[in-house]
Amino acid sequence: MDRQILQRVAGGEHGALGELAARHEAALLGLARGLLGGSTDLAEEAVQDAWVRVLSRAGSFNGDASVKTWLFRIVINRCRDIGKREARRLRRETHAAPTGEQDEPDRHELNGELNAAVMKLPAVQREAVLLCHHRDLTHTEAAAVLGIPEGTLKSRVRAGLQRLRRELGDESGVIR
Amino acid sequence: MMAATRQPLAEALAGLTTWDGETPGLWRHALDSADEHATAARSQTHDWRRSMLGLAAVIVVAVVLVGIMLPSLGKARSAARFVASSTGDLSEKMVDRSDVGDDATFGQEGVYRYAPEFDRYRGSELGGGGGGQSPFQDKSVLGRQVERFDAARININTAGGGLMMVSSPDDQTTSSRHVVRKAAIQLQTDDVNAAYTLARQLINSARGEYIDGAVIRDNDQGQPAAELTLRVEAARLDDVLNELRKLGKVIQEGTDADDVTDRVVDLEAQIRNEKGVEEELLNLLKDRQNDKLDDILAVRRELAKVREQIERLTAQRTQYANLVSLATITVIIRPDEVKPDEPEPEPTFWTRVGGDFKDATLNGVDALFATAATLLMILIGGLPWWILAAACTALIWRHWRSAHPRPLPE
Repeated sequence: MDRQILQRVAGGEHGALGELAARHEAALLGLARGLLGGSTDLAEEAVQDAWVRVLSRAGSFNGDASVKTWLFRIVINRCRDIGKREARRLRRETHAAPTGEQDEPDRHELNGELNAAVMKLPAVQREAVLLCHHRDLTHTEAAAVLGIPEGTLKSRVRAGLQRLRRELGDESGVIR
Repeated sequence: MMAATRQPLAEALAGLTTWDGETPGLWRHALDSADEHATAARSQTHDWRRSMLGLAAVIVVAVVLVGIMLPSLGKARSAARFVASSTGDLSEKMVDRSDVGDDATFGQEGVYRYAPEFDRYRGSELGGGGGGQSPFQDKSVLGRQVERFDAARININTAGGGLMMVSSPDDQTTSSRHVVRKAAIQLQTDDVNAAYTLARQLINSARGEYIDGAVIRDNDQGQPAAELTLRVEAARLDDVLNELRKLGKVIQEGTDADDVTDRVVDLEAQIRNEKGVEEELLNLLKDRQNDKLDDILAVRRELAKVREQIERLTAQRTQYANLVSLATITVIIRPDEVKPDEPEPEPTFWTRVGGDFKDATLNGVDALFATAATLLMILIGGLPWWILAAACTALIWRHWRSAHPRPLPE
């Protein structure tokens, strides 16, 4: 189904992108927001960029993976780029105004403490944890998205969860 | 407890990646911005092309500059090497005469070592010749220390091709004349060492002949050249010269004679006269033994003066006799003329460029090998450190990579 839609997009039928979005945009936005610390704006930017990329690369999709996996990979890559950009911006602003007030937390951020703990994880563990807990992905699909064996994925998830528990501890009401 | 904890965390994580509500329809914005992205991409392509063109221009300029600089550097390095090899350590090349010192005896063998710039021979034919060493065997008369290589005894100056005979007498012992004879001969041969040895063997030690000085060393062209001063019996002068002529091509030859008959006769007359005075004084002492002591002492003092004068005159006569009895032959042996190299044609522009390029290439290859050797040495010598550094790097890389994963294939 997804392949046929993608072929139509590749064939110049850009309206078909709406069908693809109807099937996956919510899942992609959810993952992007998780990877970007709960920021809805950044998540939307990431997904919009992903759709642009889909438009430009639809013809080069080789079919080795499913379209769903491919879409998640594109979103993850965009999230990485945006995450680096935001980290640089935050460093610059912190360096420029060390005593000034920090940006106010995004009102749309969910579970602030958990988000903060997730963002402290190494990138590979963060991605593994969030993909494995994504409601629209199985573990097999999560491993396929990251291009790693399931065993590796599980070990990363296990390590990530242990670290999350250490970070959150008793202070997190989310866990309790 | 653990399971109870895990479940809320999993649900909270799932909640982090769940998008509730309507999606904003970002695909429409994507469609709108696709054109902008395409334009930006084209702009980036143009920027990239401009960057590449600029880089190519920089590389071309760098290559041209290197092409201009390298030949000069190569020439400079070659010149530096030439200077270093030319100057060298002259102190090591100075003449060492320890092997032919005063202790040299008859039949002794040794090695002459001589410097390119042998100041003490600067005025001689061989002065300024190239350094080197040559073997010798002393076969001179009675093992006397006649080959001292004392420059003062080889006072030959043939600058300008002329011959200046140092000293030498010859005596026509069989005639009433007293003549000091001297000769000089300059030979050219392709085997200087052999001619040198043969010339030395012309000395007849049984007749009291000897070698007054001998030296052999390399000239400017690196070929051996020799000088000898032979003292031969005056009667054998012509015979020895004939033998010497057989040793090579005669370049120059000359003889000279100094008639000292008058001086010898005068000396003999003075001696006879002084001896007569001596005899008279002796008779006076003998006849007047009873005179006052002062008078006797005055006669004795006068007798002592006369005897001293007699001894002085006798020594001079003996010296003349020595000079007359042995003739001096100065022998210069030179190698065959080396055909001078044809003057190199004036290098053309492309010849110079080719030479410079060759120099630069050779220097580059030298530098490459030197660098490779140094790197190899560093690689092998620092192996334990490399292993440690590699391990540290791997750990750091792994940690960094976990925080900065590679982009996923799209």
